[in-house]
Amino acid sequence: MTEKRMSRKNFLKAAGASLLAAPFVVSGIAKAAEESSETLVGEPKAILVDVRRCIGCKACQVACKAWNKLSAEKTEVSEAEYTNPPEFSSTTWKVVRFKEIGSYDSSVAGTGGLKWRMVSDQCKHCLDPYCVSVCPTGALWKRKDGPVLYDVNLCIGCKYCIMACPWHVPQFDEEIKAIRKCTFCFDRLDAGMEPACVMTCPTDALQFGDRGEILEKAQDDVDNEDAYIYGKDEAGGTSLIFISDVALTELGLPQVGRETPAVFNFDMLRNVSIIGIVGAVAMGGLWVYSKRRAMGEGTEEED
Amino acid sequence: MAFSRREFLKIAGVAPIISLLPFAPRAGAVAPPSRVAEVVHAKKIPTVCTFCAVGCGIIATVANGRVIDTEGDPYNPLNRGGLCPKGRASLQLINSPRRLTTPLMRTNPNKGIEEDPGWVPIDWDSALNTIADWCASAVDDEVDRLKGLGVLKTQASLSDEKYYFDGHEFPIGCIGSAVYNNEEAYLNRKLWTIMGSHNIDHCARKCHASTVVALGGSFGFGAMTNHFLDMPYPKVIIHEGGNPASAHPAAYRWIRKAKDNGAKIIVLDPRFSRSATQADIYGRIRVGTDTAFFLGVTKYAVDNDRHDEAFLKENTNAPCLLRVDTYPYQLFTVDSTSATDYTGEENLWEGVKTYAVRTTGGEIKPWVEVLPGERVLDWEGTGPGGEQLKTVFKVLKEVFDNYTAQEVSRITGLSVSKFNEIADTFTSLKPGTVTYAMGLTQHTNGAQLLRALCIMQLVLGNMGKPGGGINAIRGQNNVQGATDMLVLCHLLPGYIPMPKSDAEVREYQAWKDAGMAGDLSRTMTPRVSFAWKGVTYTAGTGYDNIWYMSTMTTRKFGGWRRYERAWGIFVGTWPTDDPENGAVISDIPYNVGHFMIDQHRAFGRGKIKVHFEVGDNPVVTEGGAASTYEEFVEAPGKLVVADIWPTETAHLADIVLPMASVYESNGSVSNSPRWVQYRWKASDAPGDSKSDLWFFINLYRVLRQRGALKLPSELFMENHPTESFPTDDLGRKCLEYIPGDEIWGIASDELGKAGRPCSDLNWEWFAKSEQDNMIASDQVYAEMNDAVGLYSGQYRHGHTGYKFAVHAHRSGAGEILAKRRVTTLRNGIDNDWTMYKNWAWCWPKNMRVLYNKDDPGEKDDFTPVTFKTDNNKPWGEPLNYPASRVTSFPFWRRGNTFFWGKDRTGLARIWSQNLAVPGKDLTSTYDAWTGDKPTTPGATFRGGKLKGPGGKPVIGIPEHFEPMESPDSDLASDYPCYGWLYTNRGSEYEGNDKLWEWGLVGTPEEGYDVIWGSFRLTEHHHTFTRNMTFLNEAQPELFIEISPDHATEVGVVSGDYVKVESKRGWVICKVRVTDRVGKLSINGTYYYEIMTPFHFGFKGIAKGSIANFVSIGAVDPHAKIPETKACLCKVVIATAEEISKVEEQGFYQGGVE
Repeated sequence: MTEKRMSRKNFLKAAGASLLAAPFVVSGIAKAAEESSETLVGEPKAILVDVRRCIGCKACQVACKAWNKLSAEKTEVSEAEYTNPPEFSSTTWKVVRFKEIGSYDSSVAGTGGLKWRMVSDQCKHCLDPYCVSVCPTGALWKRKDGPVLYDVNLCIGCKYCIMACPWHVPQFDEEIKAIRKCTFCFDRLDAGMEPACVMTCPTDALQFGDRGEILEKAQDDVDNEDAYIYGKDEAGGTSLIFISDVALTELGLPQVGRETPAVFNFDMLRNVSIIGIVGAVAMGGLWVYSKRRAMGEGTEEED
Repeated sequence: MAFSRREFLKIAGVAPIISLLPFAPRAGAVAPPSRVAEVVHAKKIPTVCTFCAVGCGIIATVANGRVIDTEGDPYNPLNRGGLCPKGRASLQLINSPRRLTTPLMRTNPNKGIEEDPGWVPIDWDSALNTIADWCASAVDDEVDRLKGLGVLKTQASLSDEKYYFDGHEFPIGCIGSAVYNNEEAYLNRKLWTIMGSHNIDHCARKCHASTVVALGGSFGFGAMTNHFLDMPYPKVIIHEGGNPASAHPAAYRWIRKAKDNGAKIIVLDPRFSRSATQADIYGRIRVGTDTAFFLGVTKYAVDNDRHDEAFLKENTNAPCLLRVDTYPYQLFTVDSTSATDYTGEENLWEGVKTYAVRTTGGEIKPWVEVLPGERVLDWEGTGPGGEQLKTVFKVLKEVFDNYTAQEVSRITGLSVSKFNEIADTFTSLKPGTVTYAMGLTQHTNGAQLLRALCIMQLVLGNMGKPGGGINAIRGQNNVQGATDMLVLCHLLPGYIPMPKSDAEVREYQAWKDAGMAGDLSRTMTPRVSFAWKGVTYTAGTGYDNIWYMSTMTTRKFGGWRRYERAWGIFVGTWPTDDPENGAVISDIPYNVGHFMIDQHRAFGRGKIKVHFEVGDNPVVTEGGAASTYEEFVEAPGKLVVADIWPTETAHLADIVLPMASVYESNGSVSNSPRWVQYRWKASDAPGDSKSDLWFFINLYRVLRQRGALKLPSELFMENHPTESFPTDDLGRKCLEYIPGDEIWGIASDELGKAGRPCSDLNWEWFAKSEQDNMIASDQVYAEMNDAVGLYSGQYRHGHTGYKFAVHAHRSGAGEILAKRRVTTLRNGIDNDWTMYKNWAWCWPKNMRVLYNKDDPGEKDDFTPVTFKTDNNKPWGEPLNYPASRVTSFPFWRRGNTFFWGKDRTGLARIWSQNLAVPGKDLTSTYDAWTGDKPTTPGATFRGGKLKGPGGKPVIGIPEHFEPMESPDSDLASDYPCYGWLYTNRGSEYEGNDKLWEWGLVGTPEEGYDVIWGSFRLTEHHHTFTRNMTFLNEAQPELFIEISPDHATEVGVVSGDYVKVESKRGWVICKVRVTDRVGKLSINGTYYYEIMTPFHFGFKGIAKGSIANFVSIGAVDPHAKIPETKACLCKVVIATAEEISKVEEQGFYQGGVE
């Protein structure tokens, strides 16, 4: 990632300008986006989630809530092991997912055939985010140093991003009638601080740094020991790099292809072209629709 | 800034459609609100977390006098900006609308879960005055009672007069806290002492009481030997009976670095814990059976020649000789006659008896005259007088011989292969450390169990070294400090015993008259002798046959002298120059008070008439809580609860007082590895809530006003108006002023003229300066430095002198070392082993690794720094260390000042005699034990595996003892329960207590065939996080962990309700089905185990049944720590009625009638 390369921003500016002139040249965008991951400049940041170091304390989960002033949810003991809240919600941007693997046998050496792993999960802040690419209003955007941000005032509640995200990260907030999700603590980054979750992590299971360096570090481990990496190629690469001694897909993260959102868009837009102007009319009513219907999950606990 | 059009353009494909839609223009997009302006540049106050004992620094961000954010302190070397979920959620504690904000008075006389207390808000004045009324009436009765016994009254002759209170009988009790600051703990203990009561205890009793007994008895101090920053250095770590990843996540930062350095981590736990996620080896072990494991590993080490012979010979009493033809065995002593010891220096035992060893030349000589290499470790033979002698090591071998891998497996449930795997790993790598917590301590055999651990570490030579040691990780942020201040019934601040007889007080007076011989330093000056009752005592020789004057007795006297001077009280005789015939006066009450559980019994039975619970919640946390709850409901006396929350115990109180949290007061706090760090006050306490410091000062004031607090010395002076007493600086009458104090480190120019008639001055001064809380707490801090020998050195008197109490506003003149925030490492051991010796302060004398001779004491080259608000989290490369360095740090120096054993030899004890039941004759105790009570119902006492004569234990070396509820009658016969020693024989409430009744112990035959244990969650801290919603959502309710096959048997899946029932009580709770718990093979039979967190109760946002209703209230005979782990229960599916009840109210539990 050197400065000599054309800045992604500038590249896209140029591309965009030409695209405005020829709005239906979709394949051109797809190609541009594919290249964009290689042409990033500056210092894209990333969080290394080292599952091997995680003790599942949930400090990151609490730090996220505390820093972002998110309210707690009403939860209960369920099948979901210690994972609680069990899923992302508009007020839960970080979830530590627990997974037991195997069962204990005293005659087996080591840990007796039983493993217990935790994954600190959150918005992956993709290099080319699906959510951004499908957002019809431009309420979502990608910042060059990593964060995928959004403007709740621009959000019309269409939930395209919720459907598009392979990890179901964006969540609809009933109160403000807009989506909410992890912001990569962009405000802390602006102040030269680490994200709240990383700062609080007691065992350095979460580490923050330049994506290139973190990737290198993670790749080293994959090359040198029995380790799995996730986020390097998934969805065209993400700002969360997971490293684990157990495949991440076994720990509850979905299998996600390498294709970038632009390709995805292309597929989607083929459908859009079929729907044509009828779809446009439907979307026109979406704002009203979204304000009326209650679809959020999880009631906030009153205190 | 970040916003640009580019992303928009990327979806230019849909632009034509979008352009048709009615939405705000894209150009107005703004990011979510930033907290930079609000937090980053706001005022920062460093404080220390209120939860576990790691001592993590927290930065409180304050705006408009209100805390708006809490985050890890990036400068604090202990946590480096990291925090666990509890610490990170602290803001929810500080700003919770559920905090108590005003004193409350009960109007409904009926108590109980179902009863509405009918709280009426009152002001502090009426609350304190009401409390003072209750106390005054109780004290009046007690004074009358004592007068009836001839105490506190004039007699025909002065020599018949006695003025003291009986600390055991005093009708005012208190359970203190492990959360308040050192200053507050100290004032609490001081107030109770001068009030006349030793009925004071705190949760250390149910936490690490057995650690204090066992580690103190083995090494000198009952404290964590190394520290958290030493954790990267072991080559192998055992987590046993503790789960630091869960209970002390911030400490796991350092433990995890050991793994980075290649160390092996071994976890032994009944359940596969969060720590086990990092384990190389995990073994599932039955609760309460760790003694067998430790002795098994010791045997494995010796059998495989992995013990450290040189270490044992030089540093322990392993080569010392035992006389074995009498029972109990005793260490054999001989006269030492040589003028020099084996090092060529002055022989401090010259002319006195000391322990004997067998030399390689075949002689029996005093150990001090024999080079370590010439001491024989393994020998048996006849002594000079025909005695049968064995070396301690020999007896140790005889004891552990029984604990073969097969036997360990039979007892613990570990498979033989698993045991061998662990033993092989742990004994082959050095240094190795062991961390533990409640899983080892809270047992009826807790003290014995931990002694076994001490012996294992000594045999392996792992003590006194970086990377080694025994790391007793304490549970609450200031439980170490509150223990050091002895908010406990059996000792005084700094671990000083209290007087127990008139003779002791007379002896003390004689000692004072003779110039207060001996001191705590090693200078041994002045050497003087004193006589009392015809016996001459000489410092250095002739006294207790022990090296220099610092025997337990002299240390005790020195401690009393400190209190006299610092508190303005009097202990001695009047006239002071006639110790033999004067009136005996002791402002320190006599006798050990009631320990926690007994105190609750005493309260329930009306013996204690006014009982305080300062920040404790025993209705939830005590072993056998079903009984505690009942005592509190039925107690005829008055209950005062001071807390930040309306707790379960507060629900049963007569008056509830709202208290400040630790973030709302200034003060110092001692973490688990003894670091005394400083907490700066971040904000004012909400509403009318007050700091504990304020509370104790004002409680003193009202008690004084009511006449409920009168020192025996004052009563004496009142009764003798014609005597001419000396006066102090201010012209007030006092009993005496005598020279000699400077040798106790109490320079008189700093204390003013000693012998104030009472301590009013201090208290008044504190009260005045309380308006500025920091100054008040600083004053107390400085007084602690003088009053508590253990903490002397934490304060540097300033150039201008520090005449606290007499000359008021001198705060700041001295240096409070706890406030140091220097993060640079100096060259030498500090740098090599990351000790951060200029960060805060550490007892003793800033020594960070206990018993290590190369850990230098305090130095003067510190540089104070100003606090910065930088939020970087600096941390360098993982720590690497050359293995060869470890062995270059030998054990503690001989005659170490800080080695406070009874024998003062500086030898660590493989053999320890002090595990006899206190106050009981050993032989009769054990004879009685084998007498009329079987060990568990249905079992016949055999003691078949115990190595002492007649199947009795060899007293100085631990054995495995079964829990009170043993699943196996064979094991119960082979290894009888130890808890009966106290339960059956020692308690004054014997036969009068629900929990200790014979019928309340269950057996598998009666259907109680599931092994029950309790544990702590990461997400909750004891009982005071259930009003914090971030933590509640992470762990919302009580559950048990149950294995899949067990769940199938019971007929439940995760989320279903069961009834867990023991002979003491039952709870309804959910199940969480998991492979992390499971079956254990005990003596050939499989038993299921279930585990449950204990945090929940019937108050707060997140409610749940009180798990401890199931546990047993039996105690360890030495430590009086209650068993909360090894119990038997049955698990059945809950009925529809029970489920509807628990779903309706959030909890449902009960005691068994």
